[in-house]
Amino acid sequence: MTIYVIVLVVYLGALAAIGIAFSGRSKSAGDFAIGGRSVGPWVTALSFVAAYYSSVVIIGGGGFGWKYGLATLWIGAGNVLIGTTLAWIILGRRIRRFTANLDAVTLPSFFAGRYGSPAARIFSAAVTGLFLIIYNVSVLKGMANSFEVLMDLPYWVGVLISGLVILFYTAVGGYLAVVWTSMVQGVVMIVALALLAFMALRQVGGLAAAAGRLADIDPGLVATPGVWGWAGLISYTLIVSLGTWGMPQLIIRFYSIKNDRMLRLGTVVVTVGASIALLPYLCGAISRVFVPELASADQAIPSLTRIVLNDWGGALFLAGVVAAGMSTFAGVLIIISSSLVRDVWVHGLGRALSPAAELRANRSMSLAVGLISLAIALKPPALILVLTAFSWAVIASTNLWPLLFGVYWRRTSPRATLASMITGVAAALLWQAWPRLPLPPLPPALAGIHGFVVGTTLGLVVIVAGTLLGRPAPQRLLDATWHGKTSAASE
Amino acid sequence: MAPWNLPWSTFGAFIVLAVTIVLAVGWALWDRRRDHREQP
Repeated sequence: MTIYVIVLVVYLGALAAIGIAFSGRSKSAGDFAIGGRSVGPWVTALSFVAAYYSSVVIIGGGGFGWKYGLATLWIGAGNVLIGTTLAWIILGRRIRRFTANLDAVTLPSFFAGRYGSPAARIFSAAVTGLFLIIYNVSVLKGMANSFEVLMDLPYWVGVLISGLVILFYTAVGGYLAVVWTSMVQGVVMIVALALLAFMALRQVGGLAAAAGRLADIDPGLVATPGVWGWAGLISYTLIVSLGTWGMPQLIIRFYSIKNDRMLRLGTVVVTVGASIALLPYLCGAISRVFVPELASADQAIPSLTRIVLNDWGGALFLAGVVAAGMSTFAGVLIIISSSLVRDVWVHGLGRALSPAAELRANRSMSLAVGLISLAIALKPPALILVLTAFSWAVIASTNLWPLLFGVYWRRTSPRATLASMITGVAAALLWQAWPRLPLPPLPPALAGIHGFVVGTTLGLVVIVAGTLLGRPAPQRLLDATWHGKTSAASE
Repeated sequence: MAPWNLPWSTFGAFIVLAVTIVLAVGWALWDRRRDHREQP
């Protein structure tokens, strides 16, 4: 216990110090939201990994590995290929250039500048803000579960410790503090996961032995799609891989990177760093060999940690999980606060704020949203990966196609964009709520499909059909987006 | 059976990971060369 306390106090103290060090650097809302577009490739890449792989991936992904076996390695492979490398190659450069051309600092403000649609801005900001809070709850739950199992602390104490430290350095230091702490957290997380996987494999006698022992329990724990089935495996892989293309806390990393050269180096660094995505699923599957029965699958990784690591290793791993959760939570807080203040309050409700007042409003909003997340996390529902998938499904159904088509298809119609957002959200929510509504049950073949697939598919149909039938955005907005020729007044 | 006693359907995840790393490095080199060609 003493070792855990020492490691955590040193680690959390260092994070708070980074927040204080950057407190004077955020002089405007733009600095607070995207760090003045001045961040290098290593910091951007590692902070992307840290923001992407939260405690949800480590704890929730491990839980899925325990429950569904080695087929879940495909989720990790999808995270690296689709969620990271292809996202950087396909979206990175255009988003960096276009948001700079439009002087947009949030995803909704990009929609406003690109499409000239205040309604799309407010809708995206509202949906993103609301459902990212749900995501933050699952992130806090992951951290608190680890404190609970590894330190025998009550769940609520874990929630409070994690939440309050993040709130402090986010509100004080803004994006630069978040991105630098994320880099440190990314390194801690990579080391911690590699250590756990190495020790787990050593203890079980290697991957071949683990596969053999899992097959003895159930051959479906080794094969693909195995005990899960294709519908569930493909749905979840798409949500947590393709879903990143519509997640503002990840997309924002492209806004802040300095130039194209750094984007290239960042793509290689982020791909190598992101490869750790397979480890939680691998460790989760191995944990089934050691702990065949668990009250909740979310306890698989913390339980494995207790078995294969000593106190110092366990403390390092807990620091890694806390790191993963904090970096994501903080990145999400910045997104929610800047979207709600800038896109909803200033532009949606027409309440002009001075730069200093907007910065203060951002800080206050991040504190308020953080406290709300913290309060909900004290009594959260469901498995954390289920919660996450739900919030990602709705947010990605809103933002994915308007963003992708917005940077590649000049003709994309503003009205079709808004219709696609509304259709995507409505379809994802309806599909997820279907079993609880007084409606005939879905056929078994469809029931395993997640609302994400339904929402994004319908959103795609609407944006393509609506664009083919409708009118593109005015030429001046397209010129402003592609060439920065005129002021698009996105801000 | 693939390495580590895994079925190929599961081992494929490791193959995809390796191909992705090669893709990232290959794209970065290709993009750098393209940038050099475009700049006088």
